[in-house]
Formats: sequence, C-alpha cells, structure tokens
Amino acid sequence: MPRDDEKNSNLPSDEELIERFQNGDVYAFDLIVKRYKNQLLNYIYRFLGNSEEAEDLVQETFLRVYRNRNAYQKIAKFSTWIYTIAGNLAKTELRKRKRRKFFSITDLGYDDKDYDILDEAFNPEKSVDSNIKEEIIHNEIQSLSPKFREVILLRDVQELSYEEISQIVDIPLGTVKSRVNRGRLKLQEKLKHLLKS
Amino acid sequence: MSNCKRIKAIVSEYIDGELTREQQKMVESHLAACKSCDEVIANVKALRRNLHELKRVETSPDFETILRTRIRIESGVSRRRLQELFWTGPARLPMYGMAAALIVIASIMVFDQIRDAREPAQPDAYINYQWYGGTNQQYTTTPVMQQSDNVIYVLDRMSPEDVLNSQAMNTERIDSIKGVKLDSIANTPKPRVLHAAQRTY
Repeated sequence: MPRDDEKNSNLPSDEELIERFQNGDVYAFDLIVKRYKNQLLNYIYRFLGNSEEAEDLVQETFLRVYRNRNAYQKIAKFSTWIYTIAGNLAKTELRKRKRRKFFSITDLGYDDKDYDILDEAFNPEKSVDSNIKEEIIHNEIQSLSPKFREVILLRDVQELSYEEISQIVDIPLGTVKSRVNRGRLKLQEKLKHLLKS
Repeated sequence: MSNCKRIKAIVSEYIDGELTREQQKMVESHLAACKSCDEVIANVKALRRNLHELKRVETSPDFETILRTRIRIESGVSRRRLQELFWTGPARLPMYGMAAALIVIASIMVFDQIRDAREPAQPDAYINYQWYGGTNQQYTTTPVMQQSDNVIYVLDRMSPEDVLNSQAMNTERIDSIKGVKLDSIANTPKPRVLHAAQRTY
C-alpha cells in the first residue's frame, strides 16, 4: 500500500530507520511502529477476520522486530521482512484456531463468531448498502483458502508488487501470479451479482 | 485448452498490465467476440476496485502504550533509561562528564540485572479459574499484572487464549482477584488479555 509519508522524500526510508534502530536509536523504532501499525492491522484483520486478535498479532509482530532487529539484513526490503513476520504469525494463529475449533466441536460446541456462515440467501435484486456490501466481501475473502486469501490481500488490499509477494510468501513469481489470478476468479464468481450492481 | 480457458488463465496479468503487446492484442480480439470473457474481465476489475476501497481499520488508541509496556516487561530495561543512554546529546557533554554518566548508567543497568535475577517480577494479583473441560472441572491459578481496567498481562505459561476464552464466555468464572479492583474487571464484558512471559533474568 503506498503510504503518504513515502511521497515525502525528506522522510527516512524504512531501511534507514531499521539501521538507526539497530544502532540503538529507539525513536526510530517508534517511527517504524507508527508507519506500519495500521497497514499490518488491515492485512492481519482481513486474513483472520477478527480485529481484536489481529491487533494482538500486530503487537507480537513489533515485539519480534524489536527482539530480532539484528536479524534484519539490508539485502531485503524492510517491508518484505515485516510482512513475512506478520504473515507467519497470522498463519500460525489460523492453525491454532483449527485445533481449537476441532476441540470445541468434540467438547462444548461453542459458537465461533469468526466463522459466520455466509449469506446464502443473498438476493441480487435487492440493493445493498455499503456496510452490507463490505460485510459480504469480507466474508467471501474469509471463505477463500488461506493460500489464495494471503496473496489476494497482499496484492489487492495492500497493493504490493508480485515480486514482493513472492519474497514474503516464499513461493516462485509464477506461482504468485497464478494464485492471484485463481483467487480473483473465485472471488468474482462468488461476488458477481454484487459486482454488477 | 479452449480459447476462453487460455484467456482466463491470464486475466490478472492482462488487468495488471503485465502482458506483452502481442498477448494483449490477442486478449482484446478475443474479448471483442466473447461476451462471457468480457464479463469476467469487467468483474475482476470491479473486484479489485472494491477490495481497494474496503474500509481501513485502525489500531486502538492505547496500542503504542501497550506495546511499550510489553517491551518493558520483556526486556527489563525501561525505555526512559534507553532514552537517557542514547538521546542526551553526548557530543555536547564534556568528555569526563560523558564518561562518568556512562559509568553510572552501566552500573545502574548491571545492578538492575543482578536485582532482577534475584527478584522476579511481582504479579499484581493471582486469578483463580474454574474450568469446565467436558465433564471435568479444573481449577487453575495464574499470576497477572494489570495494565489498566481492561488490560491484563498473564505472567505464566498458561495459554492466553484459554484465559481469554474462559472470560469471554462467562466473567463469573473469575472467582477472585487479590489486590486489584474486582468490580472493574468483572464489569468489563471482554477484558483484553495479553501474554507476557515471566521475567527470568
């Protein structure tokens, strides 16, 4: 996602900030947090579907950046590094959820609001206001399998390049392009009534 | 592969402008003759627009405060001390003064580490949990630190999800909290519970 502050060339780059932080400037870390907190929140929120969990994972992402600041090497873009950390945390959370969901089915069967059932009774004739439209799109993103969801969010919500996505997800460029394409085709198929309106 | 399948395989590259001029022409001549593929392209373009326009969520106002607290708990070195160490403009201090300041700060840090090693972080409270796992009832006690009325740090290795879930389902499952305001937590519908490993250094 292009950031407003990137347009201002007087501001230090991400790589300059992390280098300053590696050299002990904790104020540079604060700037990194300000710059990335909402970007990462939106990415993880759309990936997991729950904003509170997402915020905790963004916290954890920054804690890892703080702890492992010296593991970052200048050869990679900082954004690639931080998105990789956030993405890995989000995927781990998803695996934990699957286990919890399994136990809750065999145990008490508590409803998990994160897995709201999609609105099958969607009526294409009915006009939808923007909130409902948002919710439908959000739910359909959740219905994609994680491997498609991840690349769609990085490409179409975070607006990263195919090359960056390839590095973050650690798959070949051709596979990224194919996944983005298949993900978009799946989504447009599910949402076509809404997209036409 | 039929023409339509071939076109669908490169829809995104066409929309993202990643095709060669010849491939682009090939797609366009197909679209002129194929209503179905033309519709798919229009839908994917609209989808991209909609995804881009999704509402942006923002972190809560206390996000950075919580992060700083977690860093402080974890590292045992206060941010203020780091600031003192790095931001006082040492170039402006006389050399002997700077050396003396560094020795004092280093001594404080070493003293703190020795003290911390002897005295692990003291929790604000202990929470007793009553658990209902299937047919079994279990009781667990866990030490916590309270950041504010609705933020609690769990200080042991108990899973924060377990704590969160038990509170989210029924706040009455918290039997007692010693030393912190029970009402403020019991009245919070869903306290945010964050995990922080107990200091071991």
